Amino acid sequence: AEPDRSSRNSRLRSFYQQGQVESDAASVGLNVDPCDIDGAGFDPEVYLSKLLQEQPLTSLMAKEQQMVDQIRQLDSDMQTLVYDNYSKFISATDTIRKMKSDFHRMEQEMNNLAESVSAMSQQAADVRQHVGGKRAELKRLAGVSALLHKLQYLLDLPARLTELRREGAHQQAIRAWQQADRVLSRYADLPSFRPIRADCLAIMAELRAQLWKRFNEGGSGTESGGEGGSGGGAPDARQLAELVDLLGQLGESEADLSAAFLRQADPRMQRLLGDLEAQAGSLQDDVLQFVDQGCNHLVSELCILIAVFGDIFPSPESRAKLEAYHESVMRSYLAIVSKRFCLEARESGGTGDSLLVRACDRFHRKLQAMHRLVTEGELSVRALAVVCDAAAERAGAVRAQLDLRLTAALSGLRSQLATAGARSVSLPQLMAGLLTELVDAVKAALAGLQAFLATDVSFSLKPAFRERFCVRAVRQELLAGFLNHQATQCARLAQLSPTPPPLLLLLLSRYCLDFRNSSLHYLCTLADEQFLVPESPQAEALVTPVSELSAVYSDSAAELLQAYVCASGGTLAGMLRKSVDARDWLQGIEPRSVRAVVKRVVEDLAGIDASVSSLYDEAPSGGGGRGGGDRSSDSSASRLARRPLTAASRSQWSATPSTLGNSLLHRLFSDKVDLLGPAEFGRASVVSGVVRLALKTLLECVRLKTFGRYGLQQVQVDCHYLHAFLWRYVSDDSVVHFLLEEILASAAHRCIDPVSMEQSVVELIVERD
Amino acid sequence: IKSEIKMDIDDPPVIYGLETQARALCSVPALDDSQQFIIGTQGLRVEHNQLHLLTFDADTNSVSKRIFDHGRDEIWSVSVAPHNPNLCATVFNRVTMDSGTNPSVAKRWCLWKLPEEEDNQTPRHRNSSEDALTSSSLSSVESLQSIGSIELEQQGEPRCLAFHPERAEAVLVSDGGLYQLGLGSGAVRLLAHLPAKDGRSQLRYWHAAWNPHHSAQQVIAACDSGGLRGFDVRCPPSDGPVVVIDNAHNGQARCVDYNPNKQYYLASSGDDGAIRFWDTRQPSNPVKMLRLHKHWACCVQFNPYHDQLVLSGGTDAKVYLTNNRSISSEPVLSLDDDLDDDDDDDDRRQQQPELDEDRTVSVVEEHEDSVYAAVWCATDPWLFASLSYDGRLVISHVPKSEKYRILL
Repeated sequence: AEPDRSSRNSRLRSFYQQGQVESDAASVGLNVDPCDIDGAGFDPEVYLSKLLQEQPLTSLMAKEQQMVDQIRQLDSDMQTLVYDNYSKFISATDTIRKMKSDFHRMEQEMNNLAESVSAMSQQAADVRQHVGGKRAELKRLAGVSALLHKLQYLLDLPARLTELRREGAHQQAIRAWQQADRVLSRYADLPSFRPIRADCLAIMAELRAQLWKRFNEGGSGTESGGEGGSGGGAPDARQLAELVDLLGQLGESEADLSAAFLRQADPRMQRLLGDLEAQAGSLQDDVLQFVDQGCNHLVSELCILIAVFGDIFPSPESRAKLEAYHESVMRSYLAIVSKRFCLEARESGGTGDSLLVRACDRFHRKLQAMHRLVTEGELSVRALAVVCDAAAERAGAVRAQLDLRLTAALSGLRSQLATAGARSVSLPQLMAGLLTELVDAVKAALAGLQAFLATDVSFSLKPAFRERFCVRAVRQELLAGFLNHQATQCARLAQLSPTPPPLLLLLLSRYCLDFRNSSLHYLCTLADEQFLVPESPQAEALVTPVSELSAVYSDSAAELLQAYVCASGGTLAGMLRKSVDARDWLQGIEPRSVRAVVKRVVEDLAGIDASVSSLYDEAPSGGGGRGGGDRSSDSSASRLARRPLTAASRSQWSATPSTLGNSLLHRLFSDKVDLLGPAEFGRASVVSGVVRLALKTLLECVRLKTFGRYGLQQVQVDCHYLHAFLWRYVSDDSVVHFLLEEILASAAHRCIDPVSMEQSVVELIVERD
Repeated sequence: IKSEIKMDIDDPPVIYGLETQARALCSVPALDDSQQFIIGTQGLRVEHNQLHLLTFDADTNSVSKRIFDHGRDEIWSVSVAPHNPNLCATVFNRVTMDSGTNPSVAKRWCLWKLPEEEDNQTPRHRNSSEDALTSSSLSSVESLQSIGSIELEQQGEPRCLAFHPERAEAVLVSDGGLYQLGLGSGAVRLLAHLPAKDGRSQLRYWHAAWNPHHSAQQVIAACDSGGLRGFDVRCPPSDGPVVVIDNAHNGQARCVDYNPNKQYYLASSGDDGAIRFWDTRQPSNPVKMLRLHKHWACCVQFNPYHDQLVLSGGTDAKVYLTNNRSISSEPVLSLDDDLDDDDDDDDRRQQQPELDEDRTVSVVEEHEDSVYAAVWCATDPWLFASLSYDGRLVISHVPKSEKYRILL
């Protein structure tokens, strides 16, 4: 332990050398005690020797122990110190190292700072240099900014506008805005004005929207005003005008405004039109009421609209737009009215005339009044056209009724003829009844339509109406049309298959003739007078002339008569044909009597003659050979009267078959007889037509048969019988002669044993029958 | 026999006269395309009824004839087979006297073969006005060769015989109904019998015509009740008629003819004087009606080439030639018209209304007695003949204006 201690001491000493030296040097002069163990001048040898010399052993021993303890103490103290110092030293070196690095960084920053500062100072120098040049401008700007407070107004503008808008002082708001807007828009590029302007614009947009809204509400205001009474529209109109003015100041174009104006008026118009249209489809409401409603609501509204519009929008373009709109509404309206009138005209019964006329009159007046307001568009002309259409429709409806009446009358007549026997009805009476009925019906129809021409009716004197209604609708389409229809309708029966009852044909034939003779002129003249049809070439061009109608009736009558001849003759011919076909002419007994069918034919012919003579006299031209008086007066008594056996008739005809040569000679020297020519309007002509048809058929049937002797003789008897009784029915004996001769000749020719009966025997047999 | 030629300045009809009455007329489909007609005399008490085969010479506008003897039997109807101009059939009336007092008359029919014209014979006699009187004495009468006839059950009175347009067949029309006959291999045999019954009631057929379309399997008959009955020969007779047109005419239906160019269309004539045109698919109503004849319309025939031309003859001694373009197979408008505007077209029609309208082309006025037969020439579409009861045959031309209007 001793060497360690000494080495440690020496190291410590060497460590503290400098200090020791200094302290040595300082303590040199001091009293050094070599035995002070803790003093600097301690000398262990001395100390030790002293101790050894002075101290006993025990104390020495104690001393040594004490010294060892102290050394040990010191050793540990020293160790602790060394550690402490050492750690301090380490921390100190650490700190120093850290400081060293910190200082390095700091140095860098300091360098940067120095650079920045120098740059700043440089810039500052520059700025100072520049600012020094613009000092005057800055001063001017300061002056402008001094003016700015005068424009404080502008800054307040949005608020003020809002205020004004809220108060409803639109006019002031707009004026304020318009003044400000000049400035604002001039300085619009300045950022400070922008928000103001934007605010103002927003406010004005709101204002505009508000005005539009009010404008649109103004329309509904008109509506409410309209319902309250026509006077209510005016203030609204003023408001509307104001609004339009304001909106116009706000830069809305007149075109937009007028379009909007019409647009906002349109729904109401459409609603009114819709209402009217709904009414037009039915007859529920009175037609007068319909017209009133149309006039009071729609037309009035339209007038107000037109007036207001004209006030507000005076420019020609707007006017054109208004006209277009007005035109469209009026077109719809006129169409609806026309529809309603036509419906009324069609559907209403006989009583409808006066009501319709009054409705038409009212309508016409109203639109004429409106025409004064709206000069364009020829409103009154179109209104008149609507009235004309209605009147013409009415005439058409009357015509349709007449047609129905005719059909009913014809079918009634037909059933009357079918149920009652031919003999039991009086044909002239039936015909007169038909004539009276239909003429009266036409007269009644004409009289009813005269309501349209009453003097107090506003349109009755208009030439256009007269031309359309009186000439075309009544005179031509109603009267001439019906008359023509009647004739063709009758004639149609003649072509019908199966043929209608012959009596109907006969009756209608005479009816057509009578109508032509008596009623046709009368009705046409009546219509001309009642409806003041002018005698102008224009009117005549529109009207079917009476002569043409008359011709149609004549044709129909002729056709019907021809059909009657064919039907009646066909009936007789059928009887004869069947009888000839059924009989065996070859075998058979000598004739004792006239065949029943021949008698039957003569009887039927008497019936036909009676029917015909009840309607037709002798030939109208008076060309008939025999006077008609004795025959037409009493047909039944003389029905079976025989031909008077005068010498002349005997010599003319004998019931002996002439030879073929004779027949050829007859043909050669007589004019070619038109056997089946058309019947004329005369009893004799009609009946002889029937007779000729029957005889011609008999001839043809005979030619298809082959006869024995008695067959021929039977034909001889039949022919004689026919000759004896037919003379009175025919206009021209020669045709009957010719046909009977032909029959006999053909029978003789078709006979295998042609032996004819004695003329006297034939006469006897006929006499007996 | 006397013949005469009536010369007109323009388009003269040729008139040929018989001394006896006549009803039977038929056109001959001659192989050499010469224009031939055959007519039969109807003389009840004449010793020699005759068939006259007349050849019309268009160059000289005259007629030459061959005469065949038909004995005492008066001829009611004559027909010539379309496929064989030498084969002809007649329906005739034969009178037999039982012991001289009780005469009986029976209608019969027979098929004949016309003898070939002999080459060594003198040329056909020209009937011109100069030798009119002598011609009859010059002409020699040839005899017919009978092919035969068969007795049929319930035959009744035969009316006429309608040859099949293509096959060697025919239909005999008689009271007992229609008898379909096979004529092949030189013998006549019955193929089918279509009884003239309409339910319970008995009908009487007057005339019949084959439908030329669809290889001619249908035949239609005109009844005395005024109706028309069409049969399909492929069906058994018990099936009854396939076409029923009731009341086609008021009175008896006299004649019926199929349109040769337009299927389903036919014409009928009858005692009501009307010509009616029918579409067999719609038999309830006529397609068209003509009322020209004032008495019975006895015959009606379509022109075999131009079916708008219709010929009809009647007991009013008139023969009408009508143009019924509207219901014919002719197209309504020509191709040029189709290309034009409608307005233009209307204008044109207004300007020439007669061009497209149905109309009566001409009327043969030469007859003085009832015309029972009028036929078109089988070989010349512009020639037709009509025969009236007094024995006058008139051969007429379609007017040139009409001919050119159709052709051009």
